[in-house]
Amino acid sequence: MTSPDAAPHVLVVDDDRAFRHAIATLLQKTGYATAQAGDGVDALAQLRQAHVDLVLLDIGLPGMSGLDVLAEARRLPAPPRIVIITSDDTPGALLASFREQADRFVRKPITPQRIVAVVKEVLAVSAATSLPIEVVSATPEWVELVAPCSLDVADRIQEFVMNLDADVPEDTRESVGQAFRELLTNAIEWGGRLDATQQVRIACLRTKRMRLYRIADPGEGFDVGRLPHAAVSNSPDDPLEHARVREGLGLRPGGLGLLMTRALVDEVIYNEKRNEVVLVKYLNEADDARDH
Amino acid sequence: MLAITEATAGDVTILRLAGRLVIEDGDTPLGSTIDALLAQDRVKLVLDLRQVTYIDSAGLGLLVSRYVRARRRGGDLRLVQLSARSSHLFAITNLTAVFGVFESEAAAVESYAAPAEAL
Repeated sequence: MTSPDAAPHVLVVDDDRAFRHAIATLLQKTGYATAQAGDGVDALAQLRQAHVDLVLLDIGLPGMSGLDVLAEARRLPAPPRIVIITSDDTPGALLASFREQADRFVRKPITPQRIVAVVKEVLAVSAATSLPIEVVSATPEWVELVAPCSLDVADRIQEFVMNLDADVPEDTRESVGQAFRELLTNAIEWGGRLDATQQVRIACLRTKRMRLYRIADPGEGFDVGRLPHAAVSNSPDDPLEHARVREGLGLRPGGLGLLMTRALVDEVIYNEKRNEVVLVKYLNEADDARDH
Repeated sequence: MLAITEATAGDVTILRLAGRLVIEDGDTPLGSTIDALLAQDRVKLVLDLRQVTYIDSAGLGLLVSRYVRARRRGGDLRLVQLSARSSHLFAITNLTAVFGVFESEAAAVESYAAPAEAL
C-alpha cells in the first residue's frame, strides 16, 4: 500500500502493467491508497492479507480469470466492493459479473478520469446499503432480477441493463435506459416506499426486434385518474400545473416521469392495479444487436 | 453526486453544476442552495449545466419547482448550455418554452438586463 491507512484502499488488478500503473498513480494523486496485482492468484493473496475497500478487476487475467477472482472475493469474511473493468463485451461476461454481485461493470476503453469517478461513486454508497440483487435468470435473452426497494440499486441495475445493450445504437440505448430507470425508481419510491425490506421484480427480454422490460412492485398500485400531481394530467397550455399541485401537497419536486417515459419508448402498459408495468422499445433493422 | 459552485455577476447568481441531477432520498443540495438564495432575495439565477452528465425526471422536476419559486419572488431561473440529450428531455416534457436557455453564462447574465415577463 502506498498511502496513509485513513485513505480508502483500492487494489488494481490487470495484466496490462502500463494500464494498472497509470490507474494506480491517478488514484494515489486523488487521495486513495493503492496496491496492484497482475494476476488473479496475486490479487486473492493480497485480499486475504490486508483490508481492501474496492477492487478494480479485469476479467481477462492469465491463469485464474477475473470472474473466478470475483467469486472467491465475495466469499471473504469482509468482501471488498468490486468494479469490473474489461474489454470483454459479451453478454456472458456481464451476466456472470452481475450474478456474482459485482458492484459495477465498466467497459474498456475508459478514461482514467472516468475510473476515478466510478471509484468515488461506488465508495460513496456505504457497504451496508450495497444490497444484494438476486439473479433469477441470466441468459442473454431473458434476465430476471429481484432487488430491494432502495434507490442505490436503481443505478446499478440501470447501468447493467445499458451495458447489456451495448451494441444497440447509443441514442436508442439511452432512451430505453432512461425510461427503464424512471419506471424502476417509481416502483421503488412509490410501490416499495423506499423500504429495502420490500422487493421489486424486474424482467428484461431481448429479442431481435424488441426490448421488453417488466417491473412489478410490492405496492397497491394507483389510480391514473387521480394523478393531478403528475405532468400527464396537465392542461395542454400549462406545463407547470403539476408543479404547483405538488408544492401544495408537500410532495417532492417531480411528476414528469410518466410523461417522459411515454415519449422515450414505444409502449408503456400497466396491469389493472397498476403495480406492474411493461415497457417496450421496438428496434429497427439497423438497430440489430450483434449477438442475434 | 452533484457538485455545485457558486459565482456572482452583479445581482445575478450563477450556479455551476457538475455530475448527475437525479432523484435523491431526502433533501437535495441544489434545492437547498436555491432556496437559501431566494430567502436572501437573490432571485436572478443562472444554472450552468455544461458539466451535468445525466438528468432524470426528478432532476427536471427540481428545476421546475425552483423556477416557479424564483418567478413567484419576481426573479427567474435561466439555464446555460443544455446537452442534446437534455434538450430532448425538456422538449418531450413540454418545458422547452418555459425556461430561458442560453449558449453562455455571459449571455444568460446579460439577459437579465431586459425585464422578465410576469408568471
